[in-house]
Parts: sequence; structure tokens; C-alpha cells
Amino acid sequence: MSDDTPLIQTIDIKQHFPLRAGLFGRASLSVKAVDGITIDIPRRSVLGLVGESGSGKSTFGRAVMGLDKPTSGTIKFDGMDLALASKDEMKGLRRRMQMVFQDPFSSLNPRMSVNETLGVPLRFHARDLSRAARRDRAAEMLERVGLPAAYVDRFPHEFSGGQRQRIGIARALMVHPDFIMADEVVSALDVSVQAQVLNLFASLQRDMQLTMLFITHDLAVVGHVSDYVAVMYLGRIVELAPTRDLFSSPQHPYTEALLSAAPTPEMRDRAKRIVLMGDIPSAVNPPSGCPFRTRCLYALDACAGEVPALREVWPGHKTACIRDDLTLASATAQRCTET
Amino acid sequence: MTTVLTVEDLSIGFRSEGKVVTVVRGVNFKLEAGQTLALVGESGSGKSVTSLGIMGLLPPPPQSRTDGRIILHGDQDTDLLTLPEAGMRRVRGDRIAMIFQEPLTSLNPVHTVGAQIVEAIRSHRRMTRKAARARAIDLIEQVGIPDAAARLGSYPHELSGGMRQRIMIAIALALEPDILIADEPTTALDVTVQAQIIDLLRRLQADTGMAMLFITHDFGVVADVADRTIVMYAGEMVEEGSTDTVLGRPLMPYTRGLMSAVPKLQTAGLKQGELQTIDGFVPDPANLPTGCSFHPRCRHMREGLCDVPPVPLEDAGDRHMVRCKRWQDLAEASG
Repeated sequence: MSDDTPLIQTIDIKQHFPLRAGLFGRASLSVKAVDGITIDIPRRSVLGLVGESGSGKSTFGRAVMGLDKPTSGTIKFDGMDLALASKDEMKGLRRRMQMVFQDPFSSLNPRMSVNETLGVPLRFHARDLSRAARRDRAAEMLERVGLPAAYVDRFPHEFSGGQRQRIGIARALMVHPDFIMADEVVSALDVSVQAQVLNLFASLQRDMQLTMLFITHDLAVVGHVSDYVAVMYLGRIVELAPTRDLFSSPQHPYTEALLSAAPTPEMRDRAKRIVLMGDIPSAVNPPSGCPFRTRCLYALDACAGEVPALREVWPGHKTACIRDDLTLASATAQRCTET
Repeated sequence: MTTVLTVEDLSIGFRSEGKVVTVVRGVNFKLEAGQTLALVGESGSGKSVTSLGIMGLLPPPPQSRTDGRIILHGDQDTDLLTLPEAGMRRVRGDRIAMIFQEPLTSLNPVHTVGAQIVEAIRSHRRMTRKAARARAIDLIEQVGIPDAAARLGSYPHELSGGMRQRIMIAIALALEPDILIADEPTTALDVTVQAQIIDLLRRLQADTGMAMLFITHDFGVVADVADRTIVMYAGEMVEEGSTDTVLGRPLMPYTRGLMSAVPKLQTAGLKQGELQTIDGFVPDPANLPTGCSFHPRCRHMREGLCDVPPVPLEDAGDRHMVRCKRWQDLAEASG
């Protein structure tokens, strides 16, 4: 595949989970967890996917990884349609796409030493390696993620949360993947440890030329690591833009509200804060038209009509809002720096 | 300002393998009516244990050991640490209420939320069921839940996380306490819901004049809620002051380090390079470094100074307290 083909392409991905009513009931309702996502992740870039719980961001991530077959839509990895890949091709693809999980306590097997944990991916994807060679690679990778090589014989309980997360990252990198999906990887960590792990991600991504899908609920984190950011709400992308652009000139009212609600220690005028009313609606029975209109400060009658398509405001910046007459507050407009 | 609670020289230890390990050391603060004090720190800083100590919710001796004084002011002052359990039970809920991080585990899953609010009221006040029910409806309206009468019959699992936290707040406020202790009340919530709950707490505080002790790990939340802030590290207060001062002009290197470890919205997308980190780990409370507990991780550490006890909390002016022997030269160096 040519170098300018995006490594990941998704076309109109939908993931609907049927709800069964009663014992013999037929599935008539479904949870529309992901409802039509078309997005590309260019090679060697980081796409940040941000949204609140129930937005469908993790479900989308699982579909991209080929862990759940989507209800409809196409996912291409390096130009190859995952649905059409043979078993052998799929195995090859799986080596190239790896993931890191949120909870470093439940994602490591407590009865396996670090050496064993890091060796598992090699048993599938580098079967001809000798035991000693596997161990060398594990030790090497531990050092790469900032832990002493001598730790290969230790067990998960001997490590702190941040160290465990480093081991989780090392495991994902053992088979030299091209693509990493990281789902809420720093959410369980203390601030000072979170900073260490974010720095590690940044340096690994740069040095190993990784393509990444970075899923989180934390806007400040996403702003720090991503080249592009997609904001999800109720199964759809409502805004997509280069990171700097998204934060400095948000084009969707939901993004504006998220930026406003995100707690950061920068001094700000509390009175200017936008507080949305209510909760995210049910994905079983989403509002007609724009999914966000029930909580939107700028909603018009017309917003209840059609589901707004992502439209390009200027090159690279897309929003799914029909209003083009709004001037929304940027991340910086809502805060003044303490100097 | 009316002081409603004074914590004096509070130390809390737990028995572990035959020894008492002290996890909170020499904590002093006052809670003022109508004001919010934030206790902020990372895991293991002792912030939650402090709040449990105030509520009398620590395991009884000899498993735990509490020293110092916790004075609840009122018609007459009471030292909560000397109060027998029966007396403490009257204080809890009535004078001091508490809300927690995860409302789903704090609410009883087999009773309706109405029954739980009514129970909270009737266990402290002589009130008919009917009157308590009416009060419950009032409270549910107060915490911003629409259709209050119908919500009385809901079970906790039928409500969203934000709604459950509102119910917890309704229960906490049922007896109009003087003090609300909020232990990471928004940590499990989405940002937009977090903003709602913080707004609600601030509005309720303005209405009732209660004092709030807000425990959190998040400096962003601190900036939103707190009038005064205490930063805790390894069981000790390391910095205290008005929130504007502590966040805007921190003096303790630990506070500064934490603040610069947080990614900022302002610089999003600039790929500004590395976040500043704090090397090393929080020390084991059974094996604290001598002198300043932070010195092994501090980039400004001076041997022969920072590793020599005592390291007192010093007044940097304007009730801004800092536990660092080098705060003056560091403040000068950074202008």
C-alpha cells in the first residue's frame, strides 16, 4: 500500500446491540452504540477519540481492532478489508495491531511473571524464537518502557499502578506493531504517574513510528498526545479537527461545552462556565435529528429534523452541526492564564 | 466567619504486623461556615483517612490509633475523639454528613431512594412518615431532579450516575448538617455531569451556609470549588493557603511539580514536548525519609538541609503555609 493511504480507514461503521424483550421476545429494539462512523487515521499519527461514558468510543475501538464484528460498515487496515481477510491474513494483521488497556491491575495475569506475560504475544507471532531469545526481548522491551531489565522475573503484585501500565505497554510492543489502540490508559493513574506514562507514549510513538487511536474522556490528555481529535456523542462523531484547531476554534456546541466543563487548574471565571443540563440520552431511543439537540444551548426547531452530516468548515475541520452562524468559545477564551 | 470545626494536631495510625504505622501526621485546620476547604493529594497522601477520622469511621482501637483533637463547635464544643459511639452516631448525618465517590455502592440497592431518604430523616428526627416523605420530595427538588414525587419510588439502579450522586447529596442534606464532607464526589462522573454536581454543591452551600471539606486528587476540581486548599503528601500538610494563592503561586516544590504534570487545555495540540514529571514514588508510610518526606524526589533538594528534621510548616505571609526549608530562595529564584 502506498504511504499516503491511511493506515486505518473506517466507512460508516455501525454497532447495534439488540435488546431482547422477555424470554421469547424478538429483538425489536437495539442499543445504537456506534451509529455510522467514517474516519481515517493517517500513518504515524495519533487520533484522539474523546467522549463521555455511553458515547460509543470504546465500542468503536473494539470494532477497529476486529474484536467485535460491526453490524455494518467497513474497516480497512493498510488497505485490507478486515471482513474479507482470510484466517492467515487476519493473524498477520493481529500482530500489527495491538492494544493497551485501562486497568493495569486486571489486565495482567497475577500468576505470570513479567517474562511470561511479555512472552505470550511472541508465542503466537514469533514462534521460532527460542526461550532465551524471548527472554532477551522481554528484558530489552522493559528497558525501553523505563523499567530495569532485571524486573523480568517479578510478578504483577510487586509493581505500582504506573509500573504495571508500563508492562502493559511493553506487552503491546513486543511484536513490533504498526498500530496501537490505547483505551483510557492513564485514567487510573495519579497525576504525577500519568505524566510519566503520557511522556512514554509520546516518545514511543515518535521513535517506533506508531499509528495510534487514543481513547479517553479527558480533553486535556487528548490535547497533549493527539494530532487529530474526534469528539463523539451518542454513537456519532460530532466534530473532527487537527488538535490545535479543535481547541482554539471549536465548531460544535458539544465540544464547546466539554472544553468549558473540563476541570483544569488554570484560573478562570466561574460565571462563564457552560453547564449542560441533563444526562446523555439513551442510545436505544436517541433524539431525532441531531443527537445533542436536547442539551444544546443553541438548538433550533430545524435541529430535530435530519441527522446532521459532518460538514467541512474549512479544510480538515469538520462539524456535525447545522448552525454555521455561531461563534463558540475556545479553550483559552474560557480561561485566563495566571502570570 | 464562624468556625464550625477545628482539627488540632491530628495523627492517625494503623496497626500492621504488630507495629503502628502512622499515615496522617500533625494535621491542623479549621472549617468555616459557608466556606469550602479542599484537601488535595495523590493516592496514599492521607486525605481520605483524615476525613474518615473526622467522621469516626476508622476501625476501632487497637486496629487504628488516633491522636489530637477534633473539636465540633456549637452551643458547646465537643471533642469528637472523646465522644462515645452513641454520641458520635448523633453527630453523623445530623451535624456532619458525608458523600462518597461511588454513589452506587453507598446506596442500598433493594430499597427505593425515597425509603432511604425517609430513613435518614426519621433516624434523627421525630417526624411522621408522611411529613418525612414531604421533606424527601422537597430535598429531591432541591438537588435538581425533575418529577420529584415519582422519583421517590425509583431504585438506585434505575438512575444515572449523576442522578444517584444527587440522591446521595439529598440524603446528606436531609438533616441540614453544618458540615458536608465530600470525598471525591465527582471522580466517577463524566465532565459535564461533574460540572452539574459542582454547581449544585456550590448553590446548596450558598443557600444553607454549610461548611464543606472537599477531598480530591484533581487540581481542576479544586480550582472550581475551594476557597482554601491544603496539599497533602505522605500524611502531612505540605502547603496551605487560599486556593488562588496555592494554585496561582505555589511555593512547595511538590505542589509545583503536580501542577506542571497536569496537561493544560491552553497548550493542547502544540506538541509542546514533555510534561514535567516527579521522579520516584510516594514513600512507604512505615519507612519515611528523614527530614522532608518529599526530599528524595525533589529536584531542589539540598543535602544536610532537607534531610534534617524538623521541617516545620512555615508562614509565607497572608496565611500561606508551606513545608519546605528552601521556599524562600526558591521563590526568589523564580521571581
